[in-house]
Formats: sequence, C-alpha cells, structure tokens
Amino acid sequence: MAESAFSVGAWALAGRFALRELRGGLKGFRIFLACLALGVAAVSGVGTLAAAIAESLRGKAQVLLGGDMDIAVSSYALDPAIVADIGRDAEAVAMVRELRALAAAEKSGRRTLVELKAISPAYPLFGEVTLEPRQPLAEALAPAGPRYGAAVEESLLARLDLAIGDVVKVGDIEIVIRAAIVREPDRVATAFTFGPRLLVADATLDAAGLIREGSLVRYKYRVKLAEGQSARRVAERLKAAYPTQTWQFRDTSQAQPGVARFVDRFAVFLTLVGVTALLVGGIGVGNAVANYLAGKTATIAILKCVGASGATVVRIYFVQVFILATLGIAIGIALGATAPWLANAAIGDRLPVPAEIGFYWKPAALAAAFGWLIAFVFALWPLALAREVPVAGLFRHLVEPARRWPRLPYLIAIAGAAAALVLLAVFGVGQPYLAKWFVLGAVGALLAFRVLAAGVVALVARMPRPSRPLLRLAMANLSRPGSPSAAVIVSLGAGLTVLIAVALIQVNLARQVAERVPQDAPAFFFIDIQPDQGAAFEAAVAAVPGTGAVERVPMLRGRLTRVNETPVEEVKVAPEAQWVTRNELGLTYATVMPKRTQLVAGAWWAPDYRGPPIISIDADIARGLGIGIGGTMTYSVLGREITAEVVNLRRIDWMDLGINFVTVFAPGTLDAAPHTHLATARATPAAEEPLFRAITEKFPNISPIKVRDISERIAGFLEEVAAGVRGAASLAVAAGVLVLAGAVAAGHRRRVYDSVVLKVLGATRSNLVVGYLLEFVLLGVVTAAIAVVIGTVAAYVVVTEVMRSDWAFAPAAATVTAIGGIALTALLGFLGTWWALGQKPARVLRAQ
Amino acid sequence: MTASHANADGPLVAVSDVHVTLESSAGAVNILRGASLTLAAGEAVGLVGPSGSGKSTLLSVVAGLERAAKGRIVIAGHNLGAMDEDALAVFRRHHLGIVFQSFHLVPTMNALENVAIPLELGGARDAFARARERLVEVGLGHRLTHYPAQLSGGEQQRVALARAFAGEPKLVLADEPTGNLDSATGHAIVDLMFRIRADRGTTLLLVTHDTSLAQRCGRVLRMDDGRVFGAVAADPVRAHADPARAQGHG
Repeated sequence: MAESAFSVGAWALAGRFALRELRGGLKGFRIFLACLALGVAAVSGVGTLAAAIAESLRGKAQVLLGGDMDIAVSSYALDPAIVADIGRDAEAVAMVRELRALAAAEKSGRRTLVELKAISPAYPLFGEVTLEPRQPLAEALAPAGPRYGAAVEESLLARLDLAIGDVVKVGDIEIVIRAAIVREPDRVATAFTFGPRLLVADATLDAAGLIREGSLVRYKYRVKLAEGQSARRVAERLKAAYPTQTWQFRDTSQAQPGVARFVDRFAVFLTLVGVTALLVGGIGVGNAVANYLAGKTATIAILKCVGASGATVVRIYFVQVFILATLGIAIGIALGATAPWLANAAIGDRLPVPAEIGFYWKPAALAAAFGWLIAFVFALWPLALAREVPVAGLFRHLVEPARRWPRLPYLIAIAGAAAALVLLAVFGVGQPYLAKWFVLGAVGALLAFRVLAAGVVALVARMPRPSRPLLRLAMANLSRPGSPSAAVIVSLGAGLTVLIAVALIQVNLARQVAERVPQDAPAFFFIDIQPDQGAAFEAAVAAVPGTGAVERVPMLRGRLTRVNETPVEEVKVAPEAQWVTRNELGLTYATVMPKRTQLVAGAWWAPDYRGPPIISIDADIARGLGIGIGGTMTYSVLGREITAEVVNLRRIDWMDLGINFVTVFAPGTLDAAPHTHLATARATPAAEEPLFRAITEKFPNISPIKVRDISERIAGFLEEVAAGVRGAASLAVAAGVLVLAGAVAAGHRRRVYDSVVLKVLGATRSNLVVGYLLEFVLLGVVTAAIAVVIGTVAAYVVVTEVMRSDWAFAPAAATVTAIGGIALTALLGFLGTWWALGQKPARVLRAQ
Repeated sequence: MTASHANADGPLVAVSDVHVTLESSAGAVNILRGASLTLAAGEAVGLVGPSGSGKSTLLSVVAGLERAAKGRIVIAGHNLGAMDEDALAVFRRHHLGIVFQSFHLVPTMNALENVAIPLELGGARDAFARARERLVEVGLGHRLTHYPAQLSGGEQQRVALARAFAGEPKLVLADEPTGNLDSATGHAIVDLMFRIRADRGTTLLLVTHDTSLAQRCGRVLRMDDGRVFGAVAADPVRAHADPARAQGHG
C-alpha cells in the first residue's frame, strides 16, 4: 500500500494507534501538559484580559465618554449661541468643567489638591453617579443656606480626616460633604491624578470664585444626540459653521483613547513575555517527548517489525503529541479565560475599567496557535528521531547507534514551523516593531544561553577533578554525557534573565525618578497664579524659612493646528513627537532663553523684540514634526489662531522637572492674552509643609502640586508596571522549574542506581545529601551567573538605547534575583532527588 | 541438498554471500562473513549455532531489518537490497511474520489489537474479524480484550504466533520462540506453530539453541562465526553447543 503524507487513511490509522498508545495514561506527559498549559495560559490570559478591558471600554463607550459626543474647549466657555446651535442636533447637552483646586478641611485645617468637577443639571447623560449614603445627585450637590453641597471620592475623606457632613473650604465658599462617590460613570482609574475628586454643581464653582482670567479650566460639552444624528455629521457641521473656533471633538469610538492605547501596548509587551514562558516550556515539551519516546523504543521497533514504515511510526506519535498538545492548550485556554474574573477580583481597583467577563476567541486562538507551533517545533525533533529506532535491538543487544539528526524533510519542517512562529510573534501580537525586536532579543538570548550553557558544561567536564569525592560527583553529574544540565540552564535561566533585566531596568528608572531628580528639582509647582499676584506670591514664598529660588513664567494653553501651513492631521509625525499633536500644550513667552536649555540652531531674539510672531521650539520635537528654522507652526490659543515662524531650536533637559516648554514665543504675541503664571519653588523637605500652608492660606486660587507626590506616583506606577512584567516573567521561571522537574524525573532511575552504588561503597545519607545539594547549587550558580550576564546586557540596551537614559549597574537587584534563582534550583533539584536516597541497596541491585 | 528443495519458480528465500559489519564503541564487529542460505517455499528450516555466531543477525537480514554491506537477499522474488526502508516495511507487512523470544507485544494494545496490527497496516477492512479468527485458532478466543500484562508468558507467545500468521505470510521467522517459556508451555507453543505452518504451507526459518526443537524442522543448518554451514544432524550441533545444552540430546 503506497503511503502518502497527506493520505487520510494513513492519518486515520495513525490516529487509531495513537489512541491505543494513550491508554497507557498521561504519566510521561504531566510535565509536557504543564509546560504547554502554563505558557498558553500566560499568553491567552494576558490577551483575554486586554480584550475584556477593551470590550468593557467599547461597551461602556457612551457612559465613559459621557455622551454620544464630547466637545472640549480649554480655558474659556463656548459662546452661548454656539451651545444653543449644538442643541439643535441634540436631545440634551450637559456641561462639565474640570480644574484643579485646593480644598481645606474646616475642622482639621488640613489642605489638599482636588480634581474639581462642576456639572450642569443634565449630567450625567448616560450612566449614573452612585453615592454613599444613597441619594439623588442633585440633592447631594444642592446648596442649603449659605453652604453648598458636594460629593467626594472616598480618599479625600481619609486625606483630610473628614466625615460625611463635614465642611471644606474651596475658594471663597464652604461646602458640605454630603456623600462619598461610589461610582462616577465617566471616569476611568488612571495612575496620574493630582488629587481626589470633588464633585459640585455649576453654581457652586461659579460662587467659589476660582475661575479667573486664564485659569486652567477644561470645558466639556457632552451631547446626547437627537435620533438619527451622527457625531461625525454634527462635528463637521459645527467645524464648517465656526471655522475659527478651536475645539476637540470625540465620539464613542474614542471614549478613552489614552487608556485603550496603554492597555494595548502593555498587553503586547506582557504577551511577548508570556511567549517567553511558552518558549521555555517548549524546552520542557521537547524533553518530555524525547523521554517518552525513549521509553517507547521497544514498541516502535515492534511496529516497524510487523510492517509499519518509518513515516507511519512518526505519524502515530505525532498524532499522539498533537492530541496531548491540544489537551494542554485547552487547559491553558481554560485557565487564561479566567483572567478577567481573576483580575476583577484581585486588582479590580487598579484596572481602568472592570474587565468584561466573557470568552474572547481571538486571544484564545492566538495562544492556541503559539502553543501548537511551539509544541511542533520542539517535539518534531525527537519525533523525527523515533523513526530511526533500530529494530535489530529486538533480536540482540549489539546495535549500531541510531542517527542523532533528523532527516532533511523533518529539519525543513522544523525550520518552517520556527519561521511560522516568528511570523506569528511579529504579526500576530500587534506592534510588529516591538515584536521584531523581542524575537531578535529572545532568539539571541536563547542562543547565547545555549552556547554559554554548553560551554560551561564542557568546561566543568574538562576541569581537573577535585579530590573531595562529593564535589567530584556533583561535577560529574553536571557534565556527564546525556546530562540535561544545558537544557535546564537554558530554560531556568531564560525566566531568571527576564526577572533580572526587569529588576535592573526598574532600579535605573526609579533612580532617575526618585534619587536624581529631587536633588535639583523644585519642591512645588504652583499653577493658576494671576499675573497681579506674582510679586505677592514670590514674597510669600521667600517669607517661609528653608525655601529657595522661585521661577515664575506666564503660561497659556494652546493646540497645534498646522505645521508649515499643513493641517496637523495630514502631517507625518514621528512616534516620539505624536504627543505634541494629540494634546493641548502649555505655551509661554520669554525675553531671555529659559534655563537648562541649550541653543542648537538659530539665534535667540533680542529682549525688546517687537515684530511678527516668532517662536523657539524643542529640537527633538522639530525633527519629529519635520520642521526646521524658517518653518511655521500655527497654534490655536483661546479661540484665536496664531502662526509663528521658528527662529531657533533648543535642546531641553526634561528630566530635571524644572519649568520648560516645547514652544516659547517671543514677546509681543501672547502678552496681551488672558493668562496665568506657573511657578516653581525650591524648599527643604522640612519647609514643604509650611510653604504649602503659607501659599494656600493666602492665595486660595493658587494650586500647589508637590513634586514629591508626583515622583512617588510615577514610582508607584513604574512599580505596578514592573509587577505586571514580573508576574508574566514568573511564569517563564515556573516553566523553567517544570523543565528542571522533568529532567530530575527523567534521571530518577540513574540517580537511584548512583545512590545505591555509593551507599554500597560506604557513602552515608548525609554524604549523598551534601553531594546532591552541591550538584544543584552548582547548576543554580551557573544558571544565575549566565542570567546575570545576559539580563544585564538586555537591561543596558533597553535603558541606554530604548529609553535613552543613564545606566548604572545595580548589583543588589541582580544579586537578590540571582540568589533566589540559585535557592530555587537547589531546593527543587534536591527535593526531586530526596526519594532516591531512601532506596534500599539490595533491592535495587537485585533488580538490575 | 538446497537445490533439491528449490521449486520450479526458484527458492522462496535466497541469501548469498551476505556480510554484515556493525560499528560499536569497541570498534567494527564482523557479524556475518559471507552467510548464504536458501529456503524453498513451504520448507521448515532450523538454524542452530553458538551465541554470537550471527543467527539473529541473519534473521534480521532476511526480515529486511538490517542492511547487508555485501551480498544478495531475495525473498519471494523481491531483492531486499534494492528496496528502501518504506518498501521493506510494506514487504514485511505482506510476506513476513516474526515470532520473538520475548514475545514483543505492544503493552498498550489488547490481544485482538496486537494481532490486528499487521492487517490494519496493510489496510485490511476486516482486520479485527481476521485477528479474532487467528486468536480463536491459537486457543485465546476468551482472552481477546486482555492486555499483555494480563496474560501468562505462554498466552503472550500464542498472541505473538497469531500475529505472525495473521497476514498469512509466505515466510515466518522465529527467534528462540520457547526461550522464555517453561518446557511444557514451550512444547505446546511449538506444536501450535508447526500445526499452523503445516495447515497454511508457510515457510519457516527457526533460530534456536534447542536441537530437539530444530530437529522438528525438515532441515537443520548450523551457523558459526558468521557463516552458514550445510545441513547437520544432531551430532554436529552437539559438537558446537555447550555441554549443558548438548546433554538434552544425548
């Protein structure tokens, strides 16, 4: 019967035989299943969680946006005629104003910055504000006598030592806290806020006297569209009707673009770390298949003897591996599917929105594809060697050694599957650029690991044997022919490398944020200083002992609309400069060049310049926007478009947290526009609190932002990101542990025999304990040493090349992780061998 | 002698001047050094000789499991030297049955499935029906669904016999089929094997240390030092066998 690789009959036959073989149980496949399930769970869990959050963002888009569309304006309210015009297409319009303000507790006198939100009666158009104690929102915010009402975020109560019913002073008025906010429908949890929420009615904000000329207030008009209207059509009509108006339109497809982008990127990154776990697990899969097939040589020989071709044998075991891989993958997907539920339960408060529980087939399919490809790549090698099992072994003991390399077609198939794996990683996960570097890094690191591991094992083999027999035994076990040391070093080391790299990157970033910055950074930023308060403000700062220099500059907000007369949406902008086109920017004007900047092209203007608008911009941003000296940039400022010529480029050191602006105007253009001042003040740590009090008592409209709070928040955010990466990397370590467990289990018979022979020769149990411990400590030391080297190189590249930051090796961070790795290896290896120690020599020797 | 057994269509097995050398860690070992052998269709031939004389290797060569460095092997008109590995497997499926000393049943398959393997591999639609008939024939109709571990040694060897004869091969090779059995069971197995062989007219090449067993074949050949020597009577066998084994044939 001619057999074709694609013959249905041949595969059906192989399937029948494979199922019979599987009756033997899953004993040899526990590690195989665990490796695949773990890796697939990691990949599908991350993807499922990201999809569940995206789904939640999509499903709640109207609620999160606060309407069918959102029209945002900075610093001033829309003309009532325009609002009325918007109302033509709408069923309802709600206005929301947001600003930072200072709240002072009446009783305790404590003060803090709050994110104040004032709402018109129509708010919320969608969803519901839930309060505790339960009450209608309008009732909670309504004035009663001379006092106003507010609902606040729970954390404000703790921060100011308040209870429901207590009073806080905001601006010129007193506000009674009537309720805590349980849920604010249009708010997502973000790492960066300047304070807890204080929700008040429109009239309350007006009465507080906080809004003055140029105050940093964001006006949002939420629109519930009339039946049959579309957000896009309304936006187009309004843009055409009011061509000079600057506003930002968002519809439900962009409800939380920043959050969606972050979740997306972070998910890609974690998915790739999950793929690392799967790759490491692949080594376990390969080892498990090889060990299983090593126990099947007799069966394979019998099958060949009674007429099974080599291809049939490979097919039988291929089908078996495929069935088991599918089982492992299914377990992994089932585990991964619980991720949204687990995340809601465990870290629900740190998710931007609660994950939408459900089954997401896309991440499941991606994880399954990764699982199958990795199982294929790693299992095919031992499978291909199964066809080389010498049948003559059934007749006699002396047989020629089988081939050690698979035949060419199998090698081609392995290479093809590996290529498919790379393509899937690069194009399947999203963000091919990041994925491409990940694949290069992962392949490079695995190869480096393999080479270094083989080198170390070879070195141990060639080292002069020490006279101490136990150390000699340990070294011999590491380097004996067929030792799994190299595979264990690679698989355990890969996860350890990621952990070490993450630890080093985190330490470097944290040092930038928490150590280097505060030494020459200001203690406070002060916003919303009215120009006429400038001198008094500086005097108030100077009056507090322990304070230092004050820097104060004018500030307005504006949006970049055109570059060289081309609308900014049509300009091709480099990724690192895109934030300039996406967000509203702070703008300033200056006579002299700001401190901490360096002129790299052009010349600074004369202090008494009076002429057409000219600007200075950041050199990196200029490159990203494709603009140079002589080019023009158009900003929309307070509803007016200002086109200015670029006359010089500066290089700015952003890391010192001083005041700096991408765009600085020459005098004469913005001076007359309503604006406020932004100031920084230096202060010793002891002077921070008195300075805060002095300024907030004297100037209720000025909002102080503590730099230490920001750096702590950034550090906290970094810690959370790092925790996520560490979580994913721990799965890679767990996969490595599985490989180690598999290797220990596979070597068990040999180890029992070794221990029995050594006992016969006079070794005590404690001798053997020390010997085995030594072996696994050696293995751990070698693994950790290689992981430190490769992890440090990886972290160095990421810190210096990707983040363009200064590098410092942090021995403590690397050492702690390395020692953890050594301890884990020694402990697990030793536990795995413990049973071998208890074997009675006579019984084992009789059985030989 | 050999010529007298050849039928008009030529011998079923024609092995001439076969050399096999194996590479081992201790260097090259010349296992067969010009072995020749001819079996006529329907003939039963016993192959005796001391350990290491090359009997099992010759069996491997005839089964197409081992490649000869030199020489020619023609079985049922097929030149094994000209066939690739897969063609040899298909050849075994259709023309050969093998009985081993250690039974070599697949532990994860029950008796019926073990017997059906060659039939299934050959694509027979009635593989299980035929396998059942064979097992009934060897007296194991009541043990069809038992696994090897649930069967005695004698029963396992009966399953192996049923498997070897399942595809109604022209040639059955038996390598020490009673070596792992007690003498009563061994006798029963041998009786069964010879009965089935006779019923079907199957050609049998039997490798054994047991001269009395070899004597049940129509012809006995002796192997020594990688070569096959002509037909022997009991005495020459005894001359080359170790004294302990020779005693049984005194």
